[in-house]
Amino acid sequence: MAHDRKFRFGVQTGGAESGAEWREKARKVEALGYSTLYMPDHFLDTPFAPAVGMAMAAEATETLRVGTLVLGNDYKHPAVVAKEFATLDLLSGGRTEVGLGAGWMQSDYDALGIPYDSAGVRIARLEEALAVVKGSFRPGPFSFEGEHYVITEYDGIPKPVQQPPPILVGGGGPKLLRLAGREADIVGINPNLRKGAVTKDAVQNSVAEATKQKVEWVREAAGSRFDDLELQIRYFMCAVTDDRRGLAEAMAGGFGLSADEALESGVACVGTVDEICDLLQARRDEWAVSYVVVGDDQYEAFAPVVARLAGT
Amino acid sequence: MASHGQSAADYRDKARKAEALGYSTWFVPDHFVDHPVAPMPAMAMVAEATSTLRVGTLVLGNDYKHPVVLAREAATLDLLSDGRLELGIGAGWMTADYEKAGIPLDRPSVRIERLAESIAVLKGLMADKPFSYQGEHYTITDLDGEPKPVQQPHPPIIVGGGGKKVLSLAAREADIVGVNANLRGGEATTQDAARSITGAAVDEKVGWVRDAAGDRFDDLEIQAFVGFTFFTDDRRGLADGMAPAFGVTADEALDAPVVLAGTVDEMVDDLLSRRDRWQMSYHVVGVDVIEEFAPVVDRLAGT
Repeated sequence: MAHDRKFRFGVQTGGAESGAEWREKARKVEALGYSTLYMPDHFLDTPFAPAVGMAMAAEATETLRVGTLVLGNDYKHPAVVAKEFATLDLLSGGRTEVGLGAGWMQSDYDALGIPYDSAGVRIARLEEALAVVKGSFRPGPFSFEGEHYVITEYDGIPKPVQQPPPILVGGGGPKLLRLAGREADIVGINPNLRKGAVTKDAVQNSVAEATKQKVEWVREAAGSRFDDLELQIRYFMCAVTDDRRGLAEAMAGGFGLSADEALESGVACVGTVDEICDLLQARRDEWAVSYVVVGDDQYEAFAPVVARLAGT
Repeated sequence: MASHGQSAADYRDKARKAEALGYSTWFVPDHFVDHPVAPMPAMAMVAEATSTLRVGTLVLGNDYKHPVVLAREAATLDLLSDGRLELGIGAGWMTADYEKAGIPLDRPSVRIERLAESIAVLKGLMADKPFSYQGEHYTITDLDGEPKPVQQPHPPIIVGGGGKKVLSLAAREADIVGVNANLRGGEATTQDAARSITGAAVDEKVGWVRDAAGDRFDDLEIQAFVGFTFFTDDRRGLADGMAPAFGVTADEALDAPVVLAGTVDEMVDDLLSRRDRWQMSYHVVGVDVIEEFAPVVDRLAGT
């Protein structure tokens, strides 16, 4: 069914100082009108593990959705991922979003002491993992024989409440975005993180023209299912300010961009509440992006935008 | 108690009931087949739905998750539950898990060696400084695990097993030692498994634990999973009827720490004598019997 492209909003947050703060944050995110609390999956500089943090956040709230933005596929076997998400979906009454990526952050691979394979191999493995996760969610046993995973007559339990939970795949390069276009329900239009860390390259390859190209890769690969997809951007440069130009001029140089390029970038969302609302509507028209995610340093300041646009 | 649940409400209700009935801990198994929930999200939900009930795994299959991932999840859970986690981990044994998920089932000695490395990694990452480890199976370089658990130096680690190698490892490294049947056949209910958990067999197993533990034996908590509970006035008749199918005598069946049969008084007596004989003070029952078994908990918990 074609997606209605109504706006919804998410907050990406890696944790809190304590259990009490974490519950409070989840309830606040819910109360401010956000749809979803997303957790990243890294081994450095991210306080909580998502499998546990999401469950706690779901239990502490009533309607808030919980998801990963995104799990690094190489850190966990997809049959384990599927079982954990199905359990979470069951116990949360169908509130999960299953975000999966190929893995990109070199420091995660170093932390685990596992090989950082070429992007092609990591993406091929993600493609297989998507088949395993989907197969586990479906009724009845399934088998899968891939290069990386072999599943034999496995009937995944529990089955999720959502039939099936939405699958979110995010990426920045053509291979990954084409895979997302074919296989995901929600597609994250991200910087290309081919350097294995967040660098100038990631920012530069997210300028408006490049973002448009990324959406085109999704569109081409999705074909007739493009209308059913929900497109998402996580805005890494997000600020509610009366002086968007001044902020852009201060920041852009550090990334090797002009102030205009920075303001139009596909990862930037800067201005007054009015300006941001206009910007998000223009991007929905142009890029079909209706799912907007901000960081936990910005979600309170950004709340007036959510109040204005969520569900419209 | 090991846990099952049909719906979210049912699952929460059972956990709250276990807490109210005086049980210490809600245990979740870790298998791809037969068990309907994954331990990490299920434990998190239960901890959030209760206030004092401890949560644990009985036990995690070490081969299903990398120990760096596990350490991080366990520490998060311990933090968010205010120190209520018991981290049970085993070498992995259920053939069906490995076959269905396509994970290579190495021979027991390799699995046990990997478990030993995994325990070292778990402890190292929960300690209060960066950690490096060079093993056969895992290599960790200067990683400072986060978050840190509330329980220091780490949540109690449960290692369960039935063979000498794994019980010796448990005696050296765990805080709680689960004395189990031998599951070398890859299935739980074989005659081989039953023969390996008679009183005489358990005498030998606890002896291995004692030998390997040395001075620390007195600090260990010895645990049994009582998978067979029968509430009856005629325990002798019941044992006579059932024992042959398992290839043991009625006396052997009643002596086995995986069996409790009889009245509340008889069960209480059995548990007291098992504590005297094996220092076994931590008993786990199935979630289906938590109410029937509650009078025994009421009589003995904390005594």
